[in-house]
Amino acid sequence: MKKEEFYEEAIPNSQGPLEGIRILEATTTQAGPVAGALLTDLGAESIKVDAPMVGEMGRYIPPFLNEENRLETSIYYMTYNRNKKCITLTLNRPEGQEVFRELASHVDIIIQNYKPGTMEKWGLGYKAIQQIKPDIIYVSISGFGQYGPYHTRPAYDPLGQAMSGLMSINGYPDGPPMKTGGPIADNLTGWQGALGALAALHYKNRTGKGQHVDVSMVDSLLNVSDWGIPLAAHLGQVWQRQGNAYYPIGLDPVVKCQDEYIVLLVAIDSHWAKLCKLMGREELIEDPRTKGMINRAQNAALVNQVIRDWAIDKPAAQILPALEEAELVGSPILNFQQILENEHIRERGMIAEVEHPICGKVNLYGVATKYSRTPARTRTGAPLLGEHNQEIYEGLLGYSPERMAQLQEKRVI
Amino acid sequence: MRKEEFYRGALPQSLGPLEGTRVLEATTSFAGPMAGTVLADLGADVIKVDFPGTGEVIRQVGPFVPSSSKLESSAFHLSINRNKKCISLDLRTPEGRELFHQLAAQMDVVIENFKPGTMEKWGLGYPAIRQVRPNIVYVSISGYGQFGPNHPKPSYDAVGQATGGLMYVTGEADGPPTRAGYGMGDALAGWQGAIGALAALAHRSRTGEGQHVDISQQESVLYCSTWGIMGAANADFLWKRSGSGNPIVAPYNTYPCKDGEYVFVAVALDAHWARLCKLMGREDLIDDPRTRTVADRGKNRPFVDGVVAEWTRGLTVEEVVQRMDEAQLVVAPILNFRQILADPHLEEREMIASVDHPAAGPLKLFGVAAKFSRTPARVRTPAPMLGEHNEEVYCGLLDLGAERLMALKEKKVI
Repeated sequence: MKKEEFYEEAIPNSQGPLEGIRILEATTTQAGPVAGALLTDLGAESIKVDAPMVGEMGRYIPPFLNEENRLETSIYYMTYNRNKKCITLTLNRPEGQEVFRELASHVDIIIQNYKPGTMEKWGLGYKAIQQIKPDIIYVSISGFGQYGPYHTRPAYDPLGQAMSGLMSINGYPDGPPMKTGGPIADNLTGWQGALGALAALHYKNRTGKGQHVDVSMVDSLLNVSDWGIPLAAHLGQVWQRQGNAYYPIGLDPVVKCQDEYIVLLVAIDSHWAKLCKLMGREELIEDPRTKGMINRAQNAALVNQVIRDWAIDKPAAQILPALEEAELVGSPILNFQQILENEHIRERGMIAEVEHPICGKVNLYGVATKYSRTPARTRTGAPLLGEHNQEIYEGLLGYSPERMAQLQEKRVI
Repeated sequence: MRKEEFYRGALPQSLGPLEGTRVLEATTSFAGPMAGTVLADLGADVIKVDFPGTGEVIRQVGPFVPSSSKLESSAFHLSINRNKKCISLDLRTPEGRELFHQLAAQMDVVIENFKPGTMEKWGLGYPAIRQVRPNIVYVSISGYGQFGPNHPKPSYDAVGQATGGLMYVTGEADGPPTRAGYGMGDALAGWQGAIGALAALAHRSRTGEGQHVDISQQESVLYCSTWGIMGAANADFLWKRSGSGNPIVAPYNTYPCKDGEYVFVAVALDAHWARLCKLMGREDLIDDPRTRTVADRGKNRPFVDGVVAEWTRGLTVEEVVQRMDEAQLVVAPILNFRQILADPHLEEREMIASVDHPAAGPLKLFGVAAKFSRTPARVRTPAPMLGEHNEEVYCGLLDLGAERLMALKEKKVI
């Protein structure tokens, strides 16, 4: 399909399918901000509450684009907070809490990722907010959830990976457990937060009722754990790490060419036959050890070896086009420089460019889901600390400039 | 908070927040089914279309749990197709197409993950379905999306991981690029599919309009790539793999213990480092210029990792976790799936769900991640048997007679 064809019915200037939904975020570092970013990317308006003067921890994570203004130029912060509005507000003092409750009555969704119990201590928990805004959708994100024996424990991304089985199966049999390169636990927890909010919104659209949505890092990662639980429970097989090979099948999709690694994976029989021809090993099409998916899985070591031997003396630039021509599954393993230059990724709008007041033009990843009627996109860069104070406090809450000045003086905002 | 407190306003017998939403799945393998699973887990009524006779490829993939029917016992299939209904239908036949149209006319959402162009070829693409159901939310999931130079290319999980940047940054610095153990390329695309469907439903509930939602594995992986793009584009920072370590903070790694297992230790703040030094009996390192501040420790990562490993090697995982827990430091055992099965926290969170399967007996599966205080969601039914819901759907929903059903079966359309 051509791009124009897909977007034939697109609404001009669409913000995305969630246009008109308003979110209030009390979030820091990552899992919480990711949940907000996802909904904002899809068109919602997110007002992020940040600590007056200092800002949240995410702003302090290097590298920075501008050493003279680190507070506004952490690429980590800029990635997870694009498309949002930012107001300053202190949540640990009564004046700030009062303002937060007032804000809450103007929004559809609240997202928070403080340690369980913290928002309650501040009088900003679900129960308190429900009093003011009965149909609020209140999303709480944490390492272990709002209840359960470990709910008070602090967590970082690798703890989620360690406690959900992921780290136990990542890495090589003779090496240590390994985390994924990126903070996958934080990201997926944020995605679950967004999913939870959307499902709750759907329910509210039908019934008028809101609710509390509780998302935990460990629970979120277990939702991608494939067959880990049934294998342990019913076959007594504890899933073991085995490098790049798929457990327990054993086929290894990462193949070393003469110059670099690529991905090459054959599952179905017609693909195997095509690959055999390409490798000049037609005899393996009917060989009982490699005929049929099940036999190839049982003889994965042989299959892996045949492919490795074939690839090792040829450059990737020779193998990849041959695979493409044969319509086989193969790809380069892209680094981020290559991603940046990739024509497909560019046409898909995945390299977004936004203007930032301090850094100028910056590039971020675009929006993953494509909507034919309500396209969504990266509209604005991450907000400066308190950039939207006036818009929100004066515009939305109707505060006078005097009241704003007062709050500022008391460092409430 | 206690569990009872969280659920005090819960509706009894709730299926989840999506109760009443109808989804039709033409999916195989993992990415497409995962999207349907997320929606089914949250309460939607999901009908999965499967091939008559053999079923789709996931049913052939072992290992198989002990059962009276091999077709119904793939652990992978059982794990990810729970909570759905299954009807058999051959989409390649004209009669099959006609039935699919009739079904789609009654749906809110269609999910498909065939190679781009395939559904169109069968007369089941978005334009065709829109004719019979104008406000349909039609979700297509593929390796590279429905448009763009690479869109016709076939793809599996590993391709999504490789082309979305994840594989390049996972693994030891001196080792090969490494796949995340789970089928992350598939799972993430499935989640994006569910997110896309729900966001499109939100638009539909305000405007009455449906649309086509296009999901790519590559983009789904890229969508959790943190600072990869900005680093390369704007900060002269090409992200490379560095094992489990953190490029900036130490100790922040897996460390070996006396029992041959590993433990994850994460200490960032200086106050935490001081506490760890006391635990390790290395008070000398609190003010040592090599390790005094978070920046010093980051610069001397190999040294810091060595010191911590020397300490953990003399203790079991349990001892390290207990001592660090007491000192309120961040630490975690690296649980395998047997330990996960026995974990009291996950038990209370209902993350180890149990359901009865007609062929395989009682089954344990992962539960539903998001918890809803009013509309709790859960694993209600096991993965359906091939064609288990033919009668319910064809005779109930479509109102076909018993004879027609028989005739379709004979012609192997269903």
